Amino acid sequence: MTQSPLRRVSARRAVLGALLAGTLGVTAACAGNSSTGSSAGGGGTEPRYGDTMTVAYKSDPKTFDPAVCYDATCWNNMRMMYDRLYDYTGDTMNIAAQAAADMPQVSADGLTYTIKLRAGMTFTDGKPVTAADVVYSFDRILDPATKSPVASFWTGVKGAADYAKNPGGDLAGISVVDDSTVQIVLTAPNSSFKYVLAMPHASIIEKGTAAKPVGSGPFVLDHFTPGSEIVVNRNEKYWDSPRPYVNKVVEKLGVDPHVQLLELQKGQIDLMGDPIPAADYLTVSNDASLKAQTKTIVKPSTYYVTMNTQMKPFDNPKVREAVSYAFDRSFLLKLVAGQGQVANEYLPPGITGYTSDKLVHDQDIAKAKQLLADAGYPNGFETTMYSWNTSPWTALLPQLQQDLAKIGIKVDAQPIQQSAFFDLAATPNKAPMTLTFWVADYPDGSDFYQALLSCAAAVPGGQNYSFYCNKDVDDLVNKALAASTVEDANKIYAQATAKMLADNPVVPLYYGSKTEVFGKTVGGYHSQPIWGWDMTNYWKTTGSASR
Amino acid sequence: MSRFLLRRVPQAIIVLFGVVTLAFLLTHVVPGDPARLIAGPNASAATVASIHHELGLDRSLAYQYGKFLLGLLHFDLGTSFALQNTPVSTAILRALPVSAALAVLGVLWEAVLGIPVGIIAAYRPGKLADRATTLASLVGLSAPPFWVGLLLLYLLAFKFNLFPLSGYEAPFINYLILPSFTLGLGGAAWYARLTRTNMLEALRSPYVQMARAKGMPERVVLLRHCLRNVLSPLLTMLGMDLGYFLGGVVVIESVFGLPGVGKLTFDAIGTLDVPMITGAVLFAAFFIVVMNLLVDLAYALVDPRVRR
Repeated sequence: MTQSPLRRVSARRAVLGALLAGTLGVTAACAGNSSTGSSAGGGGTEPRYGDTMTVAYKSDPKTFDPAVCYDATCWNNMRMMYDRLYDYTGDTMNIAAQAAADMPQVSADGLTYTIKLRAGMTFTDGKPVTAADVVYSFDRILDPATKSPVASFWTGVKGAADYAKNPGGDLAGISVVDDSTVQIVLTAPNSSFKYVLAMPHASIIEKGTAAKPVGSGPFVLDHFTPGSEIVVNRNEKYWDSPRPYVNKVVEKLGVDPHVQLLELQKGQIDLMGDPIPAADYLTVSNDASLKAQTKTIVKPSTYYVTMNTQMKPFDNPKVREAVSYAFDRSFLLKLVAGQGQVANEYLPPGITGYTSDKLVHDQDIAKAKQLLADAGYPNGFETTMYSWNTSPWTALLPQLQQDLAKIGIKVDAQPIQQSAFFDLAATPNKAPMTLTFWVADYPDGSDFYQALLSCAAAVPGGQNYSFYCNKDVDDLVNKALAASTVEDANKIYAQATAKMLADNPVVPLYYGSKTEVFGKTVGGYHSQPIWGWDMTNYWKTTGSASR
Repeated sequence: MSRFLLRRVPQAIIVLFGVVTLAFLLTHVVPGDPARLIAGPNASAATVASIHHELGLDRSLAYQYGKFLLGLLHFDLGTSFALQNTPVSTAILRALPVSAALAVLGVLWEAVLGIPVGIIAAYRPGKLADRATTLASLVGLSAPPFWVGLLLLYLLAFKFNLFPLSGYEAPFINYLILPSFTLGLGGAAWYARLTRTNMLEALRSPYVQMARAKGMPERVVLLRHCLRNVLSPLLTMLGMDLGYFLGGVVVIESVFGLPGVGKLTFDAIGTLDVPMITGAVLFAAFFIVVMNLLVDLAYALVDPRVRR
């Protein structure tokens, strides 16, 4: 998807980001605590069958249509009601075949993906899952009538632009080979495309059922009462039998997150749909009885400062370099209760392209002042920094302001409402500095680079708040996407990051993590860094030993 | 009476019209783009533009306003931006019974808690009961309802299992007692103060002295003679409160997770759901205006002077 007009990225990331931001500030766990591998989670190691899992959310899902799903509530429902070709396993960032029979066969030029479907799968209405259904589900995303917020992930598919103009025709790049084989042709090699096939919006629905999607997932929608509840039942004919373990999932809606926590402690719900509220964090962390029911994992996310390279004085590389020496990262982490780990480069750990080399600068006030003087600002200057007006930004912003004051830069700190922030930061010459973050859509460096630092993203309405454009960096990212092995890709991304950070359009601060609490009777619980809940693999310890 | 109505009903309509216009304009003036929020902040410009077009946001404000008014004449409040394919009126009508039950119970709590306290305080002004009442009502007025709500939830629902923590299903009353009590508690303070002031005034009037001189028992003096005089301002306030609560109590409904109009409004504001916000504001204003009218009518019935 190298030629894809950027601004990709899913909105769900922003939602998820908001969730994450909510959790931040509240969790004092560190990376050392994070679980890796597939640990058994709480409540026994032997799966048990039956019973009901009860969860709660603050808000209703906005849709049940995967192609437009972007809020966290609908997102978890996508994973329960539909299958995708690939899905993330356990608490890892690795994908495995789900509706596909195996990993995709990629042609030598990296352009053609041939995917066999798992044999014998059926939709919940009994019809078989065929290649035509998969093509239908993917075509919809690129049809402007669907208004999919994630269509940009698919613009690297051959013929995507033509199809968007004339949705009545055929999408050249996605086709049925035979009943159980799908072929996808890209316009440029993209080793991260397999991850796009595992995203929530790539869920497979039965052809022609867009208005009321029929899926093949582990659960079937029983009913949705707006403002009250969603109930899904186990799909008894699910291909991965005996999973799912629980018979039913009840999702209570409109439950305040504070109350969710109380209900969880009381055993009235099993999982919280929203993050632990910042004010309740101490309750959770000090409660010994909750310790065994708490999990913290590293989220593939980076919190960072941007400097608008098109605006004075940040068009001067020396000024940007000076700023890169301004921040005390360990102290910033304390302000968010230690939730996360200090950044050593731009990409977070676990992502293809991450290097453990230290590519950022520690705080060095003298050096920063010297650089500012060299740049012609011996007495500093005044500027403005924007961020969201929620936690953890409001906790971090004053400290960044103080750190910058130490080197002579007087910052007007402006925490503002989210949608106003996006408007402002994405408009050229409006926001000299921002404090922002990014959570990976999938574990590949291109997800960060293409969306946040590519020339294609340095446009009004894009996410490249630095308006940074370096063709060499773009080329390296494209090269990494075409690399034949992960090792090669890692090396090329490391070069790209070193090159980019030498220009200092951004200053990485720290990597985030998330903490979740689960009920006493939840078995097999694990967090998922990329997705939401893995309801297929959780069970209730109150269930029976056999079905 | 009909002349009174003839004058007041057009007035009410003008007020509603003004409120709706203001709500419509405000939602369009605030920063942030509904289409961008729907598409997600990072959607491509083309996606945002197509949503703009779909919602008619690319037309002039005057056109949008005209279309909105035209719909209103047909009792069509439009379709929610955020909740896919849900007409605003459907969503509000679905939420209305919850808010109505909460409103009626809340007003009852206000009266039941506030009025007796006010009477007791007025009976011996400056004494312990009075001071305690003043202090309590100060606390009642100052305590933010979301905090009181969470506190009550923690104590009565979490610690003592007396009430459910959240939800709304039959028997509904179980889910309404705590929120309506929280709602009534804040308001009760106003009622206590209003009752006290008016009772004090009444207690000083000559007819009370006369009644006492006649040797009437204090109970009769207080409840039959004084309280009657206090009732009309209290009724006004109860009527107004009921109208106000019917429009949805945003904070309390959110804390207790009641699927009422307030929760609907709260969510709509979060997603810049313009039709939903405008619709909710219109409903809220409608109830206030109607209750106002009813209160005035009640006055007019009792007091001929008002009818002129």
